[in-house]
Amino acid sequence: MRISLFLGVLALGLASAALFLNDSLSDLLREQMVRFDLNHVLAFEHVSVTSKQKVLVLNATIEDPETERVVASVDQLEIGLKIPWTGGLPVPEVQSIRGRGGRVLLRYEEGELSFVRGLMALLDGIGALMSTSSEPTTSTESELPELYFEDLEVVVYSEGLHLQRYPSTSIRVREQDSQILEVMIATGADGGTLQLLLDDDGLTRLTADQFHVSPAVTTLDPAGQDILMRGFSPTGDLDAVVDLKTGLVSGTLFNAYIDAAHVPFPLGPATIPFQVDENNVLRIDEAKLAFNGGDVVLSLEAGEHEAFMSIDVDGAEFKEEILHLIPGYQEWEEVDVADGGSFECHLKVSLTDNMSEVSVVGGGGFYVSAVDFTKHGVQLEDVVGRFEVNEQNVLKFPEISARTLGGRFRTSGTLGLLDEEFRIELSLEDLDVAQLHDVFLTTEEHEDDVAGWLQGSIQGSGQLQDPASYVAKGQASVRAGNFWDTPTFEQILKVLTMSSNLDGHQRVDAEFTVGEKLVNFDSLEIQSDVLTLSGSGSIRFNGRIRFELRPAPVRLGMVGKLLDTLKEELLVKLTVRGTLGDPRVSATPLNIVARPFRSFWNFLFEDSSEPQSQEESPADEAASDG
Amino acid sequence: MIARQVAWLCLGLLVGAGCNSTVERGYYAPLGASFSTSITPQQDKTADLIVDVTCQGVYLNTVEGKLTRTAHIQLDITRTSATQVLFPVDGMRLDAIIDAVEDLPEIVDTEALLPDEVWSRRLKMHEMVLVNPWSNRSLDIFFDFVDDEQPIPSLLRFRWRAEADSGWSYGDDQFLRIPEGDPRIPPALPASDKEFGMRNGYYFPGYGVLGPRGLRDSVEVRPHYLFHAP
Repeated sequence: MRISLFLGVLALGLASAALFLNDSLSDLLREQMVRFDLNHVLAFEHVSVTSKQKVLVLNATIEDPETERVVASVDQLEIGLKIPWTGGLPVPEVQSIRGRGGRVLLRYEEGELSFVRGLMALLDGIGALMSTSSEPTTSTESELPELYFEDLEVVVYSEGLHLQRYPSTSIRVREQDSQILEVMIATGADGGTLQLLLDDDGLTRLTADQFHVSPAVTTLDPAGQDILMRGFSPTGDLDAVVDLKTGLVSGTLFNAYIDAAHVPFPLGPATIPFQVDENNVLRIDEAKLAFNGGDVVLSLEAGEHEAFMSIDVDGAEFKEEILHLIPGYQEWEEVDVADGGSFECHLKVSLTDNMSEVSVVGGGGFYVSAVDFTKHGVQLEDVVGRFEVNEQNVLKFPEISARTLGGRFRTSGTLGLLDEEFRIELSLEDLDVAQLHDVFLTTEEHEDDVAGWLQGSIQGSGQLQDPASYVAKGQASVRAGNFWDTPTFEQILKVLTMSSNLDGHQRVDAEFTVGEKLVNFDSLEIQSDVLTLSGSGSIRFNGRIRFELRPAPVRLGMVGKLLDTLKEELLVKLTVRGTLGDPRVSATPLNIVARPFRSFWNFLFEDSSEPQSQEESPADEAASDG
Repeated sequence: MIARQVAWLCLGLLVGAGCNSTVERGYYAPLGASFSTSITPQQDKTADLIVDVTCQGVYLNTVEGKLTRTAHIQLDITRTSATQVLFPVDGMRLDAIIDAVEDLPEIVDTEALLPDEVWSRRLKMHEMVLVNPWSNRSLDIFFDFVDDEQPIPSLLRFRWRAEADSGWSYGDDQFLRIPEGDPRIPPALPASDKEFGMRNGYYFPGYGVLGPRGLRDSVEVRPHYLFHAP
């Protein structure tokens, strides 16, 4: 019992003594740090003496003296000391610093790597601390202690980009000669090595050996290629030598992937040789980058204020994701494009006037196997075409053609890439009208009730972003048609008291202009064996219709022709209102000559009833126009 | 007297049979494809070339004032590559096999024909048909038979070749005649208009004898401009 009590008191006494000594040492170190102005660079949580000449510092942090941000934290720092007595006082000299665990933050700010700045300040302080002189001096004037850190996580931070982490990284700092400090960073898991050489002015040379880089890392490039690096966001393994004194950079990025701005899919793998000259011009000569479906050959010459790039794709397989390069493609909700086809592209892109002016020149061609317009059930097959962009930033399509609806669709046109003005010529060759049914009529009860072969041509123009500016005109005709069973013609035949069970086909010829939200038919003629309708009118995009038509029976012989003339020119006008699915048709006798001929009309159509006269009121017309 | 009547009857039957054979039109479907009342193209497709071959059949028409039996082939060519492709006219051949026997590999009677006229829309092609990169071109090819008295061929074998920078491409498309009386022969529907009689992809179906073959004025945009008066 007594022995136990004695041992307990002894242990307590020893612990108190150790605590006293540690606290004394902590105070001593802090005093020295203040003395040599290290307290703005280095901080620690706890210090303990582990042996006669070793001090263990826990949770030490290094700060950037400019920003006072923590740039490195070390979980455990073991400092090898020699403590000679000078002037009756112990003056510690650091022989080695070994760190384990923690994190280093690499961030490019205030024109420098913050970690390098913090490290330089730390080394300056240590140099001063080791100096026998009472005034701090630079670290290069005296022998540096061995500096070695291991099991660090190095984190590269660049605003707006994903962090790049290098786990299990070791950092060794040593004097290469009296003027040069070497910082060797070796990352774990085959992440490569990075050698930094520093002198009094800071970082002077950087050498990468199979060093894994990501967009965050590439923005640390002190050569000032930030815009380009962000524009291309390269990832890969870097072999490079960066001479910061001359500005010369040369190297190769292996296993490279490029996440280029406005390109919605990665480019790579690739091997990209590059160099930067003394004028800070980056050159990449014919780097071949793979993408899903082919390769793009990229050459680049980029300075701080302008860049020139050539992009060449030959014989690539067409994938839908290529279309994501088109601005606004995501909004094409009713278009479904299938993978399948091929394309080529040869473009030269210039960015001038501080990268604010963009110019694209070149051209290419494409073949897309299938495009579905899902809303109307229309499919384009074997879409093939060429395009070119000229120096005036006008995109030209000499011809695009596709098979559709049993016929063929062809178009050509231009689009101003800057003003978005477009002109288009479109021709339809023998399209099967029955397959176009859903485009015009949406009522199920009238399925399969139209037929014929449509041909036509349309010329249009406008400003892409302003549908109100769209104008178009054209002509179309339908042959071998059958329209009598559509709601509109059913109503017309009913008003004319004619049977809807008419045989034979109709031919429709129309000239039209396309205005804001409507198609205006300047002339419309529907011919069949028994009846001809001619007139004009309009169809709004919402399905509202408005037509004035004059019917004429077709009779053979001279009398028939005479009757046709009278009928066509003088007797009656059909007014069509409502919608395509729910039309309202009324007949109006032409007042001046109608009455004398009314009985004649009735005689022709063998109908004793009075022709309907239902001139719509202005209110009705307004309602019809929606 | 009776013999004389029999002789006249036989002569009449012969003449009738002869007239029938001249009026008759042959409709064809790609060999191996099921028969249909709609026309069926045969597609030859490579990585950089798509050729749809359609057989409009064998009919009679007037060529340079003479009633002529003609096989009408249509090509729809799509070039899906960055280089042009050339189709020599003399590389297009038609073997009209009069009596192909399914079980017999040998051809009993064949008439080998070269194109008499090749038209691309409004242009008459002579030696070579050029198809530009990333473009489409349609052709009407007419093979006029030398001997109009031959029966309508039971099999048509159309061959073509095309030259591009990557080398030669070849096509070999065979069309089997839809047997006479088969319900899938296109019905004889009246032409809906005088210039253009396409129905279900067939050119003037139901017409065995078409009028003079020639280019017609048209303000309309059409894949084919060489029309017959039915």
